[in-house]
Amino acid sequence: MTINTLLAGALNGFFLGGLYATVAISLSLVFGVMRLVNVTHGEYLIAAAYLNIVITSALGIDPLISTFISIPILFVVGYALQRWVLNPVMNKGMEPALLMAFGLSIIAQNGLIRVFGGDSKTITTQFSQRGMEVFGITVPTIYVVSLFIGIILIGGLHLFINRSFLGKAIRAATQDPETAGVMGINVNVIYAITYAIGATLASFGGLLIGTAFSFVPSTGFYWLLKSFVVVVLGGMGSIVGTLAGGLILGTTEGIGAAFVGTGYRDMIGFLIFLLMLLVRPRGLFGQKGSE
Amino acid sequence: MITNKKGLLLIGLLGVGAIFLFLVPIFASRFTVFILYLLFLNIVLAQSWNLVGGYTGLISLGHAAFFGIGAYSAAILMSELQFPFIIAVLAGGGLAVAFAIIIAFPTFRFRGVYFAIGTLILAEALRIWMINWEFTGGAQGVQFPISRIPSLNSFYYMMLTAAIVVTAVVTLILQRKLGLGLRAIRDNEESAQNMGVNIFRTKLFSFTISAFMTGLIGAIHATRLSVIEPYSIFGVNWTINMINIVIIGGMGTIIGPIIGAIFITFLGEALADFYTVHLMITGVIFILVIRFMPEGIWGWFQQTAFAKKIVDWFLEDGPMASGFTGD
Repeated sequence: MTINTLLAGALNGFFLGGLYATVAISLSLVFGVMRLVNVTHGEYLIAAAYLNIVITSALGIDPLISTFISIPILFVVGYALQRWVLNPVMNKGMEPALLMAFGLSIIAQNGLIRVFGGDSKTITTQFSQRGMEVFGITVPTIYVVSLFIGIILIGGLHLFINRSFLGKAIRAATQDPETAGVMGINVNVIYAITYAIGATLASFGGLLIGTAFSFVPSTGFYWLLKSFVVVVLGGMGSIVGTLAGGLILGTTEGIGAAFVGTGYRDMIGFLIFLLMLLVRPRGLFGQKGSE
Repeated sequence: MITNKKGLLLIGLLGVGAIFLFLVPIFASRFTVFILYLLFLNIVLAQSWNLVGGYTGLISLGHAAFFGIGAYSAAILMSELQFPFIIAVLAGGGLAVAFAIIIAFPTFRFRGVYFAIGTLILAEALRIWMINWEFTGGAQGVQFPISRIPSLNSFYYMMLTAAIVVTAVVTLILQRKLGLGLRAIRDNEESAQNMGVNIFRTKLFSFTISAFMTGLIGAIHATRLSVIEPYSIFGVNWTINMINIVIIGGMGTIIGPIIGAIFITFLGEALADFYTVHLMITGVIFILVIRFMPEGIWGWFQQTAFAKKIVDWFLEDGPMASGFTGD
């Protein structure tokens, strides 16, 4: 192994980390901030990718524009599911909501298989199958694009959560639902809006997954696990931490894969995750007690 | 224990039922025997998951790892080292226990949902390891020596025995101090500790027993499959199946997993040609149960007037201090 292979692994991993972060944003909001262990996260990503393909072929438009058209659809689906399916068990602790999301995930995944079959699909954009030179090393263009999209979305979400009135209401409702309710915040509506925003964010994650890799209905599970790793690494409840978590995960996987082989690439990330949970459960940017 | 006459009647009825099940292969078709084999498989898996998830409060999403370890251990021992079937199967359970002990040290430190996420990711990490490991055949998997695979009827008897033994073992555990400790941990870990329950040891006990049963069943079922590969044998679907059965039947009860297993097995058979529809319906039922029957079918049934009448009838002439009606 030359120093060049190592550098290429690290740099490719770093930009891939941008994709990881973008894919994980939705989970960072719903799990990190709202404390719902949303195991349906992967299905949102994959459903968004399929939705993108359907809209693109139906309207004959660019997949990038389709991404924005699918946003209102995902918002409505997310809002309805949280409001009428998940909300009723939200006040019974984290486990019933986890199981509820688990049931939704089974339905969604098999629904996708039923509708779209098991053939693997990709989304073709102007970034597909192309590389660009960064410090003399070729990196897939879509990875670099992902990092930029990730930075924009994470910056926007960070400002939204910390500065806007709705963002403050979301934090109030998730940290202390009872007091927030007394203060006149409709907690059920806030949960539904938060979850719906999470669902719309999957629109971007799905686009990137579909462009950079191929997918089948069951691929969502893989991205769910990746997203868990990213959110916990970065720190629960920290939106900016998710970006850091993604970049660190991507880079470490890239370097690790250069040493032990690409077959073990995903295992490296999972082991880092377990190590992180052991030594610092609140993650890199998580506040004390946020675990 | 049951001491009165009506209690003995109940035991008698169960005995007759068990004898009937042992006689089934004599007159039933191969298809019926196979479906019942799957039913018993589901009962054992659900009972083992329920011991950890339902009684100890540890929502494990990594049980597929124990199943896979049992399966692979048996496969390697039988095909490479010419072990007899029974020894290979027991070793499968044993190695699952070894893995359970190793992962207990990190994962028991994760509280609540973190335990769920941690075990899920550990199982997935193990799956990736198995896909890449040359020793176990990598992604191709392992083949069992065909000539030494027992007949379907033998598998039927093994699974039936396992289902009865496992149900009995869980019932016995719950009647002992240990069973009390498990439930105390589930209901409130801190007060359990204050009351002198050794948290780590009690959790470990429940976790390893569950791992042993899951590994054992993995080994038996893998032999029946005759060829195994890491993608499906370590797949999260095994864990999903266990949780579906336990939640729908009734978490934290003895009868619940049996009812859930009957429900899931026969629903699966009825919709065998529509696999995805079957799973979608299961998902819908799963959600409805969590929302409207959080104690599962059995928990709901126990509260109906009909169930109370039956219990009253049994209690009429003396106390029936059995844990049989579950928790």
